[in-house]
Amino acid sequence: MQVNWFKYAAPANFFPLAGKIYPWFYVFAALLAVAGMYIGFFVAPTDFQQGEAYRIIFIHVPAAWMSMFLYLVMAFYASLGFIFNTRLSSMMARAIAPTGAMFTFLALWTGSMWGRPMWGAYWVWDARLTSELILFFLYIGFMALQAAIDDPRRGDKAGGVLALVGAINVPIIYFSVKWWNTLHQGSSINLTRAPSMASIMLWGMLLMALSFWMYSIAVILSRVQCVIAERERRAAWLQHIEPHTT
Amino acid sequence: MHWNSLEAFFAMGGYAFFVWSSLGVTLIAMVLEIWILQSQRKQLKLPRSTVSQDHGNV
Repeated sequence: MQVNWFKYAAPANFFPLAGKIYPWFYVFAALLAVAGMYIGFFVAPTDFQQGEAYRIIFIHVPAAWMSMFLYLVMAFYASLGFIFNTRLSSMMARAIAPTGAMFTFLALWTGSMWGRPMWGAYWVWDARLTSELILFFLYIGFMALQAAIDDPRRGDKAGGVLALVGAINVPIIYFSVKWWNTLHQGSSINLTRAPSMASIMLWGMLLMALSFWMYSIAVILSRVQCVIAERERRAAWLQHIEPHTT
Repeated sequence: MHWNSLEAFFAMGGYAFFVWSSLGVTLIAMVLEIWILQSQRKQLKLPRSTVSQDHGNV
């Protein structure tokens, strides 16, 4: 049997699929968030060094992970748009950017809320914080660049270049705590050794990360429908979609 | 259950402002994003987001 890998690369095929599945990801996100927050705020014990302030971790780390991960996904779609010249890839990159920017902002915000009581400062120009701030500007720059170019296909190309060049920043963020002497602590979770935190805390964090993941999928699929509808509104296939009144 | 009282829970061991503002801003950001997205969908006359079977069918 021959599989048509590009079937869902056509906006006309992807649009109904996205519409059908995205509400479910909101449901998954909410369920996982309830479980994660319950563990994080009711089950996990007080940290012996940081007291209750450490509970910010249940938002801070998942948000920071998503901010980096979404950028990589965005750059991946941008590169697909270059290689296969598929419209949908560039539309996905467009749909990811605002959510990525939001998670970057949340990572910075919760980080400063954690930094003030622990380090005595809301902000320091340390390598981890600075590179994360650059990530935020990359997202904003990507969105601004695409919004500034009227021809959507040219905007896709220009934004794609920015997304790909900016991807170099992600490993810099990730390894910044190793390469430089940062105030920011090293990673608690590592691929090569056991996590340096209590397993119940780890579970809370992983559940929240999964929840943010599901949230991102829901929001991005919903937004890519908007992008498709806007860009292809004159296409014949879209005329058949009736506005639901249910 | 980890907390002795409701007050202790809200006080967060003296870190209430930092913990709750982290949580609050995160919640606001997400609600805002969904709200903006829903109004965008409305403007484009896209189907509303409800979990149902006949959703988004062309």
